[in-house]
Amino acid sequence: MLFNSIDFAIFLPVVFILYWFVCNGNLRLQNFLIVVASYFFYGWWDWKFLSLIIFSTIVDFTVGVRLDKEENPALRKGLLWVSILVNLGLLGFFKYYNFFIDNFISAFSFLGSDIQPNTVNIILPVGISFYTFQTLSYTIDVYRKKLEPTKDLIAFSAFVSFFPQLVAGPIERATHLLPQFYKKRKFEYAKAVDGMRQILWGLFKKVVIADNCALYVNQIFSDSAEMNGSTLVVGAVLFAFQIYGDFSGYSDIAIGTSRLFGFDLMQNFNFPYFSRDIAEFWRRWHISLSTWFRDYLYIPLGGSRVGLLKKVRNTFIIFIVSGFWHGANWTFIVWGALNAIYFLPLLLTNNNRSNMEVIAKGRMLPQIREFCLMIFTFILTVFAWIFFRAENIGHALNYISGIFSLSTFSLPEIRPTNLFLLVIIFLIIEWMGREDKFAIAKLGQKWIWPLRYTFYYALILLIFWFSREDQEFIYFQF
Amino acid sequence: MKSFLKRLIFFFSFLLLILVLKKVFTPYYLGNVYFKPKLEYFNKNYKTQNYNTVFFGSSRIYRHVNTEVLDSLMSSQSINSFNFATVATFSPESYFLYENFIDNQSDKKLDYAFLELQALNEIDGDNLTTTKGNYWNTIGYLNFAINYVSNSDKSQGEKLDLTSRYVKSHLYSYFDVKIFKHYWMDTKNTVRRMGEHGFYSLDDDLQETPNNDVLKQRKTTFIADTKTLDERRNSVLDIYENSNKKVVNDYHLSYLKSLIKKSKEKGIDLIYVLPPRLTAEEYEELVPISNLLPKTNVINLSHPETYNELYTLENSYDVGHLNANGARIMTSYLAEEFKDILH
Repeated sequence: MLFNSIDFAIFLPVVFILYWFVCNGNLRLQNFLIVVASYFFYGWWDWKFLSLIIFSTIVDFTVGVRLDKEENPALRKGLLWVSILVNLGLLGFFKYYNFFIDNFISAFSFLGSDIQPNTVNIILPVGISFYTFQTLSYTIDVYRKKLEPTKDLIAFSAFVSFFPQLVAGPIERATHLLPQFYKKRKFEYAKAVDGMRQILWGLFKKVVIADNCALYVNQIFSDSAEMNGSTLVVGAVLFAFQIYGDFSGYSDIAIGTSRLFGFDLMQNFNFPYFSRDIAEFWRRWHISLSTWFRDYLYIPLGGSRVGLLKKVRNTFIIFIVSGFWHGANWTFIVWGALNAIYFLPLLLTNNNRSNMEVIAKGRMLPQIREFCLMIFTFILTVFAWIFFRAENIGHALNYISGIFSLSTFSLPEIRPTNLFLLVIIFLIIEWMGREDKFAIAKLGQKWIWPLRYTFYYALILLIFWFSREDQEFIYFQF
Repeated sequence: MKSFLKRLIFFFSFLLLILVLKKVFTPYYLGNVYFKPKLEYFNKNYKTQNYNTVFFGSSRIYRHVNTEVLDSLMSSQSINSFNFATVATFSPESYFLYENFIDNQSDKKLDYAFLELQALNEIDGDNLTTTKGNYWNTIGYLNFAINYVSNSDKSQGEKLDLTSRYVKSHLYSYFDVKIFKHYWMDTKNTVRRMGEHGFYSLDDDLQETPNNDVLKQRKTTFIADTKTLDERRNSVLDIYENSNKKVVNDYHLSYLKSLIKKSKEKGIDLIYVLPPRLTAEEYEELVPISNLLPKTNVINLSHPETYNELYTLENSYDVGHLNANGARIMTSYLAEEFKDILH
């Protein structure tokens, strides 16, 4: 079920009413409702793949219980590996099987051996990259004795399948989210209103910004060989806003929805395009994934408290794995490696933590230096996004060579003026709210209510305006 | 909690009010990008052209009824016609446009109106959420669709499915604010396709837009396999041979009769037209119903033997449409039938 669908618009109020009116006061019943609602939410896409979530839940729950009883370090490690192999095995099979087979075949054909391909048509289950990492965090934390294993299967199932963040994150840590399922939840007016605002802003980002950018991005990237350089620049810049609007919009809706049910999820995006360097960008972009890799991969590898070569190795590993997590294609790996290259100079010169505060804190405008750094960082990320969006490495390289051509100095063939206007308005609102958890968290709170409501209605009407693909009526030619 | 819900209800009620007001006060035709310029043209030129006859329906009327030919053939009857039919305008949209048109044109004296006889459109999923797929879906037309479906001989499952699509389309119509785009959209293309007094043949369209892939493809697909025309012709003949076996949708029939009555009250003689080249399924429903309408209120041009020329290859554009020559022939048949009614 998509957040920006009529189905979800019906589903959410129904679950909300059942949760607060029918199950209120009964924690187990509320958790049970969350499990049922989450399975329904997921099953709306495909019931068959629910079995994977249930299987993953049972394995990690059992491993957690056994880890609690087991003192033998070797057996404990064995149990941990069971969880890792099951979760990463599922992920590996559904997401990466064909990638590895294809590359294996290519490698052998390069060496002169002809192997008959044996790829299979595997459907990637929605959200598998998210919930496998979430359950893994539980097992690893229990193994490290940072977290008491749960004996409540319902609460654990709710933690794994919690519908607001099931399909697109944020990837919650068990230490943060699981305890919230044990505590009695009381409806908080301020929290719920805040959640509604965040849902509204998330929908705006997703429907108005991302989906509209996508129309042009798809056209430009699919016909990139025919486009002039400046059009390719337009396509790359719009993709930066598409992916941000899409992903952070989804996160906002997830966080806002959770707040309606009395839960707090971690912030996943913190105005990343207002970063002054790549290190700051990565502290603000997909925070739940970056911190996951930091805690469960980078630090165990030694992090930055090792020698120079290992530091470089660790940086590349974390960025490349992060890229690979996004998809089974070399383009994602190159995207990760490119970000590692951006990041290394900052790390090696100890400048990776020089911009910890929000830009222009307490001021309306940034300093010229800050502004230039922000633009430079944005250009770097836009350049890297080309690899992320391209079909393959060749496509990305052709796209880039198209940008670095004389035609970049001519007018773009596609000039989505209205969309740029929308993006500018969007950026202004984001800038105004950059010190908060989301752009409109406090915006308008001091305005008189008719003005505030007008602002919200304007956002809603814009969402309705852009809510569907601007498709022609199919039989229009006749 | 109570305070939250109260505010939420207030907030969304007000939003709903805005959306309902939008639906109520939007000009009725605004969702049909082809109809709007036609109406504007008609209103502007009504007096100079002395229009007294109008046509409504889909491409089967738009592409087939050549108003200039009709007017010249019926000059002794002082017919000055305008073709309001537009592409992909099916029932109930076409009925909606016609009904609203006669309700809103009381300042104009019209004598005759021709409305394409159509079965209820099985509105499909892809079109459901488009402005054109829902702008006409008022409470009244939702009611029409539901009653039509419930009185049809479809299975219970099909009835439920079709009804739910109409309900969805109705709901979408409230949330569709994109309809306002049509206020300021570029109508250059739509005005061009208005042709002469609303008629624009498919041949002319293709000639003016040779790069129109869809138009080209329809023609080339048809030419590549002209057997489809014979199949259609034969299947329509089968329907005629068995037309008495079909149960008539009483609700549809009574609606059509009520529209004749309503038109008469406004001084307009309404004549339903059953055009050639529809599918056998459509004729299966429409032929029996056309037989039950008053003879002076229906012209049936669909019989493949009576109107053989309307089913020949040389007069075709594609399997469902006539070319410019075919349109001229169909218009002359229409004129003959029209004269018979007038006498």
